[in-house]
Amino acid sequence: MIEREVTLINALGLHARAAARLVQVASRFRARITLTKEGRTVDAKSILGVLMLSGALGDRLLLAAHGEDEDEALAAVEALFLSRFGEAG
Amino acid sequence: MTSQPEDGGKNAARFGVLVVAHGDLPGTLVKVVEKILGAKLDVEAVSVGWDDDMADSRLKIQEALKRAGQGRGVLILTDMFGGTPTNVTLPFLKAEDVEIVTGVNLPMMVKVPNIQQGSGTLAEAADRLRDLGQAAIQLATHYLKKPPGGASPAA
Repeated sequence: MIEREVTLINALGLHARAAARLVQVASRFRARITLTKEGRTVDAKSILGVLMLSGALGDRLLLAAHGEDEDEALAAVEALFLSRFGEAG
Repeated sequence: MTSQPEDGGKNAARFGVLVVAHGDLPGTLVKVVEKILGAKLDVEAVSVGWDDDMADSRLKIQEALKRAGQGRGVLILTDMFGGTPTNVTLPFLKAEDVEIVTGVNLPMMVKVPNIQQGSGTLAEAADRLRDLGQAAIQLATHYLKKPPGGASPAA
């Protein structure tokens, strides 16, 4: 398993559309991918789970991937956070 | 839960879905979810107005049910148990391949593509969607104050 800390840098945080994009990207991989915020861990392939984190701008999350393609999975999901989920703000 | 693709997957949907609700609600629900997911939903929507004739509404639902079905079972999602949209759909329960889940909400709607691609019977899909819709209803203060390390939301 590999893990990395990521920070929400887009203005709206993990809102519905960002969560949907995250799930779309995470679902491309076989690895189990989780997000943890303040001790609460959810499946990154579940939109309702991701929304339950109520991630806001500035929140730091622990991103973890476990499985055969964990390196690619982690890189792809981290890239989404870094690209502000493709949003302007 | 086991992870399933949320992008609709590659296989044809196993169930049709029909949303029946008051006023603009059904069409708006579908539009909002399509915006969130960035994909077209395989869903029919029927609006039932307060002043609509019941026979007309029944006919509209019958036609939409046919379009949603196409040889598949259909999950009907209505807004409120006891309301007209639900009541007017109840006679269609006589068909074996129809299930009705009331209290449709946005969390349920975003899971519709998953449910349509999932395994199991139509009745199991209806159960699952109800459970998801209920689990997503939270008292925010209570949820956010829960000590960390608790069970993660089953979604």
